[in-house]
Amino acid sequence: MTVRTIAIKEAKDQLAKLVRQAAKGASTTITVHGRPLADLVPHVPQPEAVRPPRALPPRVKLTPGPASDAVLEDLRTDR
Amino acid sequence: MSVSAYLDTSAFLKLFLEESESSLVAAAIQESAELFALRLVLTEARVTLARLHRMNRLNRVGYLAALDAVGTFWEREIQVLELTEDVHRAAEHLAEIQPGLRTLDALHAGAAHILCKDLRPEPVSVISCDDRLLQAAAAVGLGTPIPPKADA
Repeated sequence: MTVRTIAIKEAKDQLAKLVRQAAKGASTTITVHGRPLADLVPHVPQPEAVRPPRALPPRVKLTPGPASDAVLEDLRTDR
Repeated sequence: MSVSAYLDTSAFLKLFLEESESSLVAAAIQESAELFALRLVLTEARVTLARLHRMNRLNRVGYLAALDAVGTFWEREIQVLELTEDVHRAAEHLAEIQPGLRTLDALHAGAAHILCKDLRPEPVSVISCDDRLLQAAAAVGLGTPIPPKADA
């Protein structure tokens, strides 16, 4: 897609239209006194930062019997 | 979008004990961006570990190791929720629409429901090994990465 060049005053008046065009992939270079100073370009989503896995503690072994959630259940029913 | 999770006591304990659902819980919490729990979870976890020790299901070394790991993990990973008036009201409402939901289950489900409202539009799931709590969570549209045993 071509890059359009536009003066800052004109860009201010047309900003909403330029943003809609950028959303469709168009880029616009904005000039001040004829000098290109800024580019209005389509947004590029940044990938989410990858979170390192949580450090989990070593798990303790129980002797055979009901699962911990069954024991918790007994405590919740106050048996 | 990242998913935050409410962790209830039945699942929290499995992080420190080697049991059949421990790996499922570990995988579910690795998928969660933030972990939230009522302060009640810490008390219930410590009380359950003490009961397991008294039942000789945990020897003294295992009991102390589990207690230590619980405290460290809680401090490092859990964002603590308090029993506010909103949580109590949500619990009472859930108990009304979910027959069989007991007081403590309702408080955990109520806390997850309020968390979901506070974080909206970010999704919230409930990680639990308690069928009643999972059914209550599902009834108000919360995700349940570990399905109820009754559905398995």
